Amino acid sequence: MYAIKVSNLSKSFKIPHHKQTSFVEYLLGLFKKKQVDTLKVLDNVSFSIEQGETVGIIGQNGSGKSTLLKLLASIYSPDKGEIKTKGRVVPFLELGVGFNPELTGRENVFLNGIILGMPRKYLKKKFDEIVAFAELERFIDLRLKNYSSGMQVRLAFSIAFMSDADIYLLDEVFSVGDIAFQEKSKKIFQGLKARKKTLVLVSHSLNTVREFCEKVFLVTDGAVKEYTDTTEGVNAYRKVMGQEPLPPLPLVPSKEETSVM
Amino acid sequence: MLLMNNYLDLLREFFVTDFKLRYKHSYLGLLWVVIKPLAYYAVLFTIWTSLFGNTVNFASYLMVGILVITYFSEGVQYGLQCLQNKRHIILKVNFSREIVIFSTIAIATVNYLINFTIYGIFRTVTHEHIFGTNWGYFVLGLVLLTELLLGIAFFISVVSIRLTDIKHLVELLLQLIFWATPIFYKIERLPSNIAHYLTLFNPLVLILDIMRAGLFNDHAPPSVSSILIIAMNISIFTILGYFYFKKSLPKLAEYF
Repeated sequence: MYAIKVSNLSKSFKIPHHKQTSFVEYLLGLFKKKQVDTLKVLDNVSFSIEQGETVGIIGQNGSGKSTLLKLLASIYSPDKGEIKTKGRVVPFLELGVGFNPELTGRENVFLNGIILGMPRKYLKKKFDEIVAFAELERFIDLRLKNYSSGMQVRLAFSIAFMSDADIYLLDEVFSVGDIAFQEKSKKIFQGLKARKKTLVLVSHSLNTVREFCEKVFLVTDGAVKEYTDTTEGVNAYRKVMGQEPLPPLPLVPSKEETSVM
Repeated sequence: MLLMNNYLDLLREFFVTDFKLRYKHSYLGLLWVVIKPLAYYAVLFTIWTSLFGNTVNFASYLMVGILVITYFSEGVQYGLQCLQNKRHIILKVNFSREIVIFSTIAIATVNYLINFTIYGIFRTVTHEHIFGTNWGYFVLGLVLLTELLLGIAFFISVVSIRLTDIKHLVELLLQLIFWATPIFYKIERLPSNIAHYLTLFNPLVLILDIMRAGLFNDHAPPSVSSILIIAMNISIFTILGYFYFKKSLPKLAEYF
């Protein structure tokens, strides 16, 4: 059963040569022929993502990865085509959306959590858990501007993953915090995968993509190419960028071996 | 049900946060909400009653007008900026965008109510009742004014994203509306044709008239038919604004 189904999706942006931002320019513009460039970001794209799948989206800067994610999050609307999603979608296009430096950590937990679609009651219940995961018990009543950037990101991350969604859209939210925290967040991801959540992540970290994803979507020139072999997909991208292919992933030790260690 | 919960939570969160942040950096904090209008009225009262030898009644009449025009211009200016101010959230999360409009106008409304309460204290000090016998008119006028502000905000919040200098035009219009509203003068004093046009094109003339009728017993309310017409016009305007806003929504994130 699919979680996300995209059919014949097209999206382009109009880039006017002169941006009309003032009223006078607007009035003058009414009498002039407008020169507009059309930038086709996605051209007749179709794919589907199954429930419980983890998909990595890779591609050059400006290739349309984030546009695709914004379309899936219904922040942009498609020019043509259709996007169907099943279940609750939570977008993490940026960690800590709406965070305000003047407010305390506690206030920001509620602000950010509610913006992400969680009810206040739910957040109250989960509050201690969020703070504990972020390891910020001592600092939670401090203003956010007094937090280090690592602390801010940890808090944002902890709130984000407390939300109970079916589909998570993630834009570069890996590699957050120090090594210990990264280990913790990896466990969270594995937990989400184990609970059959659908994850779509945009990342430039090719090893992360190879490690976590079952599928890779390579976005180039308005098209989305699907690779079920992640190493193959990653190498196709490296080829586009004129780089050597990566060696295959080392075999992951089986569970028994790790538990013995 | 869950979604509805979040809708109201978000409305409350935007409202409380924006309200809190306005006075976050000051020593007196929320006291400023009270101090500013209090000082303003004290000055006005003194000038109008002692210096110009006017009656207490006229100073009071004047203040109702000032309160209304302040509410109106604050509401318009907040409405103008509100989507811009939330752009960092709009670009990242898909929530019901009209919440921004509602919470913004709610802030202007609460400001007005605070100001009015302080004015009410002045009224009791000068041995007036806070409301007139026909206080229902006051409530009606307030509802119409709030509805009008919502309608305006639905339009200008979207337009201001595309045309940034609309704010200068709005400032200019607010100045004109200030003088085209009978705050310092009575509309009956104007030549009848000018009064007629002002009433026709400036909804604040009638709204202020309705509100004053609810506060001063010697102020006759406007005719029922004119109240019905303005109520209908404002409702149509606001509903149109809502549809315009909804129609612009899908492209909203791309305008920024």
